[in-house]
Amino acid sequence: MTPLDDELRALLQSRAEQVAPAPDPLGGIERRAKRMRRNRVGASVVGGALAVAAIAVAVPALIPDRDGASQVAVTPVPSPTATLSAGRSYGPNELDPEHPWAFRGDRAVLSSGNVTTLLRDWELRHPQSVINPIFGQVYEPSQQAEIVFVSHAVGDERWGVATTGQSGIDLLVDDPLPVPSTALMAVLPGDELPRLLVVAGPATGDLSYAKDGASFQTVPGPTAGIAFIPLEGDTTQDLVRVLDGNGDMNNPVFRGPAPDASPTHTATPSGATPANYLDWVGRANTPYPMDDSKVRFLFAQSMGRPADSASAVYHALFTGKDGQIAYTVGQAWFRGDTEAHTFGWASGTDSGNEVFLGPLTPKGSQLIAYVVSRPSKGTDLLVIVPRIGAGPVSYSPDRTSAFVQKANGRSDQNPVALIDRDPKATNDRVEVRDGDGMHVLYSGAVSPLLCGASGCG
Amino acid sequence: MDEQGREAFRAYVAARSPALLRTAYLLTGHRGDAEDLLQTALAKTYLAWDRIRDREAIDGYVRRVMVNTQTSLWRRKKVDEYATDAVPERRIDADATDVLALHDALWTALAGLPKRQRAMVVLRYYEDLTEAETADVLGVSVGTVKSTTSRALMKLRDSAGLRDDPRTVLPTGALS
Repeated sequence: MTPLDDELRALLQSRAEQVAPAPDPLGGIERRAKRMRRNRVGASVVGGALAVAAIAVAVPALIPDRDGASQVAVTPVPSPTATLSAGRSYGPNELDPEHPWAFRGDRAVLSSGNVTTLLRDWELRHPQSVINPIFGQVYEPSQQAEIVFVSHAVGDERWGVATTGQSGIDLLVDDPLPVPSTALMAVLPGDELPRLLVVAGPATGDLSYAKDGASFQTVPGPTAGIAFIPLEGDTTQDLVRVLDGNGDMNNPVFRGPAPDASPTHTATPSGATPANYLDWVGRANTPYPMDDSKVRFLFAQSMGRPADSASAVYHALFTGKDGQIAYTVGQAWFRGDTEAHTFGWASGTDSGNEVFLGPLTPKGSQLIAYVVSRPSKGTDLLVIVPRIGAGPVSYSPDRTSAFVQKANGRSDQNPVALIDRDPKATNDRVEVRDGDGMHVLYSGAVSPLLCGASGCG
Repeated sequence: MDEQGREAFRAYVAARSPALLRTAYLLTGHRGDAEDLLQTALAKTYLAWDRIRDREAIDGYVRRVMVNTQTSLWRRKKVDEYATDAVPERRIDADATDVLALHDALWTALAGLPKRQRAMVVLRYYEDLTEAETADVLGVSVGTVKSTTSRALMKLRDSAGLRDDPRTVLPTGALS
């Protein structure tokens, strides 16, 4: 026993003792279990007769638990209904979205801070999803990381490919998982030629490609079950074949056509972010996030589409507190929209809740602006959120006064400018410089940044 | 599940959920996340209840599901990091002892451990599982438990707040 051992035990014991029991945990457990069961049944139905038949013949005396609790002894489930509730059966080389294949490739790509961006972007497209990376590499010509992942959510099993770059994360693929998922395929852009990505199970064997649909040639890949195939010329007849670890030619794991080598194969339009989406990390000066669902509803309501709040998306860029006022500002849009609005909401103002429907955010914007009215204080609160990496943010209350620095976007202490603004101001100006403070990213009037469907601030 | 099974499950939850919630709290570091994690684990247990023969093993089953769920890579997580201009005040306690300060530093360092390392620390030092039992829960070898726990303890010791604390400087070979 060491001193650290003792202190750890004492610490864990004391912290654990502070945790009071949860009130009525049972109701929540049963509701969640029912949701899980519905989801599993749904997956089984999608799998169709093939899955049911596989379960009927393949349930062993001891079923390895899908949560990895293989020490628990279990028995076969005899009735079809119970079988469905126990989950869909997956073949040895088939992907189970809840427990996908182990990660292969270069794990270092996962250590990038861009992973956070990917999680956030994916959450916006597919809320409540869990994603697991299954392959990663650095693409040599571009030196960009490429991450293949599987996403699992209730009724929405997907896979994707993300690439990291200086501007953040680009989603190259955002597709539903095929059923059965024995080979995931997509065409990715390449240095000189498009590349066909094939991802099969780690226990598979030979992975071959036949451009003419007949002459299969083994494709060496970076690791077992993974291949990148350069696509050149006429690929209308091409086929991909994956064999199991024993090389069984009679029962290939997968044999089928490759997807079209369309250079425009990207994320599905309905799930895509708008063209003016700002991929900035959200910032805050309060640890209390606003209720996103309420913000989405208010956006839908202010757009005259209250019934569509479920399809509204909100991307918070700054969340703050100013005395009793809690506020958030970011971008909002409806799924499928090509452009997003600057949108804000404040609670606790003199007039209660205050909704701000701003303009369509200019594409590639260097900043967004938001104003909260504070009649009792005599000034409004002007919030200037500069892009990530921006430097000094300065403000002038009129056309002629010199700019006064209000914030420095490069400083962790004060990245967002919070400015007391004359409620009658119409000619005030803002200036944002780059991280070095040398180049002006934006210099101009505040009013256009606030002008929107609800008028000008 | 029939009514008898449901009653047995309810009795199990009533009896064991407070203790399991404490473990979940140590795994997550957040009360809300702990409740969510435990609810997920118990919901999975609920679905598997009729198939679990050895009721003595249920604690181990729930614990394993909790650890695996918590440590699964890229599990959906709430954004809990903020760039803020308001630096939280440190607790000032007239009777603050070195032990409290050390525990605060340890707790902070624990939160910075990778989830799998944190899970091993919790299982070994809170649940008091043996290396073999910990290996069984996590589905890894005993050697992995030893090496990972060793790395976790070294990280805890080397964390900024602990590096110079004589109580956490281990004798040579203590972690081997």
